[in-house]
Amino acid sequence: MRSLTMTFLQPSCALLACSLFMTSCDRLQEREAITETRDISSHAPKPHADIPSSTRFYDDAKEQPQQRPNFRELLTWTLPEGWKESATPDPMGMRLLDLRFGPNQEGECYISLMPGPAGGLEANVNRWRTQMGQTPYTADEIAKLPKKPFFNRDATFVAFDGDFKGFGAEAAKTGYRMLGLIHSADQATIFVKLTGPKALVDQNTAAFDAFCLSIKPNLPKQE
Amino acid sequence: MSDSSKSLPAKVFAFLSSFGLATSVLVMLLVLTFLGTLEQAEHGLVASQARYFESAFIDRIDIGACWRALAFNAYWDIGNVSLPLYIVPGGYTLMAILFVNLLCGGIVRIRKSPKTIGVIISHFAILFMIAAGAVTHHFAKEGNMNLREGQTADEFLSFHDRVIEIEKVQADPKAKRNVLVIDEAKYRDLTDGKGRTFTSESLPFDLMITSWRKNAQPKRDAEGSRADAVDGYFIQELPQLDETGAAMADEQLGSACVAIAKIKKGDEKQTGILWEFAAAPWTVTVGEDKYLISLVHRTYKLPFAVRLDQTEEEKHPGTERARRFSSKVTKISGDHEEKRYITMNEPVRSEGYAVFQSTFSSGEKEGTGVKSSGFMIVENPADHWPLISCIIVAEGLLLHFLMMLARFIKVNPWVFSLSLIAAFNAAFALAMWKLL
Repeated sequence: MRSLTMTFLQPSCALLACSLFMTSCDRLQEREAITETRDISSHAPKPHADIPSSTRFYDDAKEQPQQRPNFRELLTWTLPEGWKESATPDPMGMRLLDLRFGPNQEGECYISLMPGPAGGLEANVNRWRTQMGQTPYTADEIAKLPKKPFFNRDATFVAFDGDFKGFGAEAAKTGYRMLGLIHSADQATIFVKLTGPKALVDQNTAAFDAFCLSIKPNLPKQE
Repeated sequence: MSDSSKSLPAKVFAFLSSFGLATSVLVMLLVLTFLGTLEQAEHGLVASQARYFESAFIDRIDIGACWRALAFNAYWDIGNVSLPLYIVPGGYTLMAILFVNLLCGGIVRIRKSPKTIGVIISHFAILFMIAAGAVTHHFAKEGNMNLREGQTADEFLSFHDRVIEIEKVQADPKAKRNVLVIDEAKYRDLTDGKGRTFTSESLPFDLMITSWRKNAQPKRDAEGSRADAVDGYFIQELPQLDETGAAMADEQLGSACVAIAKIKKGDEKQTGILWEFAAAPWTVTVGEDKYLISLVHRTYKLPFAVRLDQTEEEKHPGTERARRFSSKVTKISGDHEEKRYITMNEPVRSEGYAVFQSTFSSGEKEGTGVKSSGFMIVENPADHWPLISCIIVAEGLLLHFLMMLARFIKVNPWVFSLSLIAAFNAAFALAMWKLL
């Protein structure tokens, strides 16, 4: 009886051990073909390549908390005559430079900066058009928008007339005009936006262009 | 005819159409509903639904979780006790059996007479409702789409289905983009020590997935001492229960895994961590080409595009509590544009899809100052089937009760029942018309 047990037990144990060994090997050897594909919509944002792990995992801020650049140290600009910085900070804290002009300071011009493409040119242009009570542009219309030089590159220029209802405003301001420049790069998108009563904006259009041209990187002086 | 003299098909039919089978299935469904509801407290709605109601067989019952849900642990804590099972039928199997049972017993075998016509109609409607459940289970898609003002999209993301996507970066920005997709079902078993290599002829590398976690977060390997660190980070597993001990919603769980790209030409390997909440994909570089690999929710395509023109939040007077979110959108189909208005409980329905307003953001929290809307998108071919079947069940039972009443009061059952049903329906239609 004993010998019979051993006769069957030993091969069974060996077989079990082999099967366990083979199972553990197979755990890393399995292969499978990828069969599913998907077309990406033309509306989908384009992702960026070569983003470091610290950025992918939102670890940048922890990495260098003290080295956040100061906007005023990065750029220089020349204020047009009659323009001055707003005395009160904007409630959203989004405006890096917030300017006022006009007899009653009703004209506004500000610079803002957002990381990445910030939703894309189409979304931002149409958001501004909606603020002016205008219907959104199609992709073709946006592609045909004029360009103006900005930071040694071309930025998209927009000029809309309409009733302006800014963020958080209760009612729209009638007879307004908006001028704007949007420059989008992989790392960030910079906006220069001017709004005010149409006549006042028309008087300051040249000043707006000069102001945009004056915004330059604050490079260290060569000795 | 005695049972022993019946042929085998007759015996099978008798079993499938029997009251005993119906009773057994209904009792088991009751037990599954009870256990699934208890387990939901710790495992979450999605996991419990999948285990008890969508499965062919239940893989295990978490007795410990059920015990704690009943608060019995206050008297006797049994700890984590699990009953591994593979023989108890799940909700899917039971509903299939119930369908066959009702079809055989409630439609084919039932005596056909004016007395039973109402019951037969009701049985038919219940079959229709079970079929609606099957169609929803197999073909319905649900997800969300977030749009900022001015933004256009024609894709939405599944709430619960995850995939790994591989996209080759195109040099031409106008080139048509497409991705290879690996469904989560193909890698969610790949916990520590397990790996699977995914291959495609269109890729210059094979992709091995390993160390998958259901809920995790990449953590910096500050001391550089971890053997499992990848590019200075390791996957730290997180609990799936919140501070109160309740299961976190499936959408709050962020899965992660390690991906190893084995370059086909040569022995080079590139290793990265894929995380569901990562800000950007992981990049694999092969020669001049770059490939973006990301772990994301499954993307579904809409047959039309939606542009968010304007979104508003209406608050209860004098409070910060939201009363209503609404959105003015443009539905774009080719060159055709159509203005539509979406608000809570008033979705836009088109081409088999329903677009519901679900969330609103003023942009203040995100620091962007740009308002955005979240839309829930549902595509369900059986969207209205349960409502239709409920109405038919009600009509069938009403007919049955009225015919029984007519016999009792000795009037013509057909005239009495059908005239009253017509009157009830007219009153119901009038009430609905006035209400809506």
